[in-house]
Amino acid sequence: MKKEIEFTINGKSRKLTVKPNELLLNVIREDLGLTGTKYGCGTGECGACTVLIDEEPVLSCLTLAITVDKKKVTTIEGIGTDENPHPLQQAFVETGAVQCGFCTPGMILSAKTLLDKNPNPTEDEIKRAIEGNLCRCTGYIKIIEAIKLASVRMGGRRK
Amino acid sequence: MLNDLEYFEPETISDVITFLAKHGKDTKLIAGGTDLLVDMKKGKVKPKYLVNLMKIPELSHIIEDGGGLRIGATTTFREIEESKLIKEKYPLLFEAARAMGTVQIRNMATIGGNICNALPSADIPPALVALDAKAKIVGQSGERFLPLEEFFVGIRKTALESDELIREVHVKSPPAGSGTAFLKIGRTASDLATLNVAVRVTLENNGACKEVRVVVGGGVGPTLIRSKRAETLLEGKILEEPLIEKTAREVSKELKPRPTSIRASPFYKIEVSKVLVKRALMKALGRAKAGEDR
Repeated sequence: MKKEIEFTINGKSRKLTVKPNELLLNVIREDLGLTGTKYGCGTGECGACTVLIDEEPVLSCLTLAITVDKKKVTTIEGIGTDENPHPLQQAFVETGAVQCGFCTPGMILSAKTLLDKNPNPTEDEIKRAIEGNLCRCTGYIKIIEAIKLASVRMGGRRK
Repeated sequence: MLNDLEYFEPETISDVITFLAKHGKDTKLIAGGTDLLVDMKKGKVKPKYLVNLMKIPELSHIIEDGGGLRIGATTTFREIEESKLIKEKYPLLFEAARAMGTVQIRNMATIGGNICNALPSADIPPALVALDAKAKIVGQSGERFLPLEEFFVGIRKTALESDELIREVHVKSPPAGSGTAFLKIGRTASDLATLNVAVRVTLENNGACKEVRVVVGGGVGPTLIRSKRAETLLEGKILEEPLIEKTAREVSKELKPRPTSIRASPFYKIEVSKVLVKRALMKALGRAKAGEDR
């Protein structure tokens, strides 16, 4: 029982036919070829598969693709390019907040939602915003620094 | 991989009930999916039909109503956490909702799904029981209300019939003179609870304890435990630290963690409960005296 869904992916409208047991993560990576979104634990612990649905971070490994019909999905590919990176992407590079890089797409998307809603977050608010994204390399310090730097550059004033 | 299945997206509650009446035994209702899809990936459940509740507008709301609150079953934890009304007037629910999972999980998981999954380590159920919450259940034979503590009948077992679903959770506004507290111990900030405690203390004008709820969760039995001993020991008394300490020790005797308990040994859970229950009671008492909760 396949069904056609129509949704927005990174600003573009797409129609796809999906089976009801297909996960959004697999559709994004395999059907759409957007491999920035990662498969980590598959059980909702690690946040590597984080995407934004209607601007909120959710787990694409625990989302059925069929349920995103008429919704707006944003992946890491949708917020910046190599030539014109998002301030968060630029700040992560400059700060050394990326080591193996596996958590980075999800980490940046969680941080983007935070800064869009709260341009000048406290350190505690930053930690809460990325609580669902596990990083096994950096120890988070540089990630938090990068988010602070981006918040300054994006116009949120910081003491 | 997930098993093959048929998927339905009804727009009204009555459509769900009609479907469940026919196919209830082969059907799983899905809301946030954060528990169900994990179980399906592990092959623990293989539903023939999946019915998505998230497209039903009448299931998602937070409404203040006649001295209480009605929370629709598919209201997400994030919506509860970010509700001004809940933060101001039901801080216990705010604290418990916030303690659950991660931002991503809270954007997906729903109060109804969390309750129906009936994990003894869930965070919001103890808070709801401390506020004398009731589940509004609808099914083929109409609607019924069940106090939430009676809704949980075992590990992952509820009082729901196969043709029923939770429509709303009704919470009473904490009476004047109340203070509440939710405390949790977990292995990490976003883990399920090793132990959690929700407390409501309601004081008389003269300062004596009028009503108290001490509800302990986190795998201290097949379901959460509403301590009767705490109610007997504290109601009618002036609450002071030695009495609260004694009560916390008595509460620990009501807990029955399994020897195979996952997140901590039964010994640890019982020892730590004495500390956590005491702290929660002291915190709630302080708030009741300060008039921080209404």
